[in-house]
Amino acid sequence: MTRLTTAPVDVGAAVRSVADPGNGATVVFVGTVRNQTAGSAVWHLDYEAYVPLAERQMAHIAAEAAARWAARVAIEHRVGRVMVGEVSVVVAVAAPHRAEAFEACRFVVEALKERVPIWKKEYGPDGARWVVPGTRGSGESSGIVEG
Amino acid sequence: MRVTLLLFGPLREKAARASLMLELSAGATAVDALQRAARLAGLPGEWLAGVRLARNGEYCEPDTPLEEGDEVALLPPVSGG
Repeated sequence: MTRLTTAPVDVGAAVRSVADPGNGATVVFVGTVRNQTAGSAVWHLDYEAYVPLAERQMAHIAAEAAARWAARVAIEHRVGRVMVGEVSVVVAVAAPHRAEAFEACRFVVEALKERVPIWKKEYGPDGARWVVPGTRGSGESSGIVEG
Repeated sequence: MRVTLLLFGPLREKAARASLMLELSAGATAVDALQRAARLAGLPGEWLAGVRLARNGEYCEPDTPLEEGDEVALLPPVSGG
């Protein structure tokens, strides 16, 4: 199961969706909105997606991980406004044994952050900025900054 | 040929629009669409660093040839998750 949602992410549903009697290990990654970045307070993130490609890439990544580690994979990513403390993404992976479940979950999270066309903009008292991958708060208040 | 160009994230914000209709000559490629859109939408060259291209919902190479009715997306460096 992979999907985008504008509603609050249901972590329990993701975990239940990968359950299988043959699996002895389930690893879950839950990404939540942090209240600060590089010393600046954050109120919320606004997530935007190129929906058809994002859905396609999430399905590819899940299928790749499922095949490589003989696992079941669920990914749910929220788009729109996500407040501090709320869940922006869940990745649930179930496999017969824990080594594969941990590795597959790590793979999915990293691949998601590299390949899925989703962008986030941070809002806080110091202003709003698009998050630039690979930087920690070194971006300016608008525009793309290579860092 | 007419193609639709989609903008996302900081590019969408800078251009103040989420899409453009482009009229391109036969043989135009994805990067041709990017360059035309950048001129029309006032996107400076440095804003296009790291931008990836997609054609009809799939990542594509800059030299991918386009066809009538295609949808090209300009995708800044992603920051999901």
